[in-house]
Amino acid sequence: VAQHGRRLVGLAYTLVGSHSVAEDLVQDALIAAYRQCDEVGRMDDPAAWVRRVVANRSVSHVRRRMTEARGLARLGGQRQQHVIVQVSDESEALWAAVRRLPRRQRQIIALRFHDQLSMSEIADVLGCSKESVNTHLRRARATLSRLFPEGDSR
Amino acid sequence: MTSIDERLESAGEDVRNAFGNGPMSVDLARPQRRLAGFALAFVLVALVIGAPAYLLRGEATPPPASGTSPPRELEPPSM
Repeated sequence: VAQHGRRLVGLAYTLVGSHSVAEDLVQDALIAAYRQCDEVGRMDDPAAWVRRVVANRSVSHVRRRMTEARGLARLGGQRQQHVIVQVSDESEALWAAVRRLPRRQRQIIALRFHDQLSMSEIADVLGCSKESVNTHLRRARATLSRLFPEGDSR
Repeated sequence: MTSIDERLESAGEDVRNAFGNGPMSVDLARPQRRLAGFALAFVLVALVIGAPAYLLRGEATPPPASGTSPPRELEPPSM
């Protein structure tokens, strides 16, 4: 699994928007896999398990960060910005919009368009049905299409 | 393929290119370091809170101000 660790960092980055946090989340997920290697090793697809851990921890991290940001805003402070990764402004704007989608939609968009997984692979990673993946993907596409109308290149 | 799909494909490729697909070393000492960090932070907080309280412990009751009469002794009860 660690052989494709950089790809996992990319997945976490699409969900959290910070390189350093993405690295931390992937490290934690790989350590969790190492500690449970007996159990994870017996799985049909250990990589899917690690992907799920990364995707779940990423959205949990964002939820915590938003709570912190609200607290800091009340105190008049501002959160320190992390190092920005070299991606185009258009891509960054699109991923920023993805991060504002509901949790499941965010995860599905990241797994579909970053990790290039099929619908059934996404269903396996997230432990839900293929129909559910399709429904969330359709809703996410509709929201993003409204935010980024055709011909509008930001 | 819709336009938003094309954009998402391109945005995904952008991030994949930025991070690559190489191996990543697992830092197994990381949890211990984090634990040590928490322990150090706890000790520092305890020192910051506890040290002033320890140093000021003898000054909790201030001496009587000058010019005030000392407390009188109680007289024995009359028979």
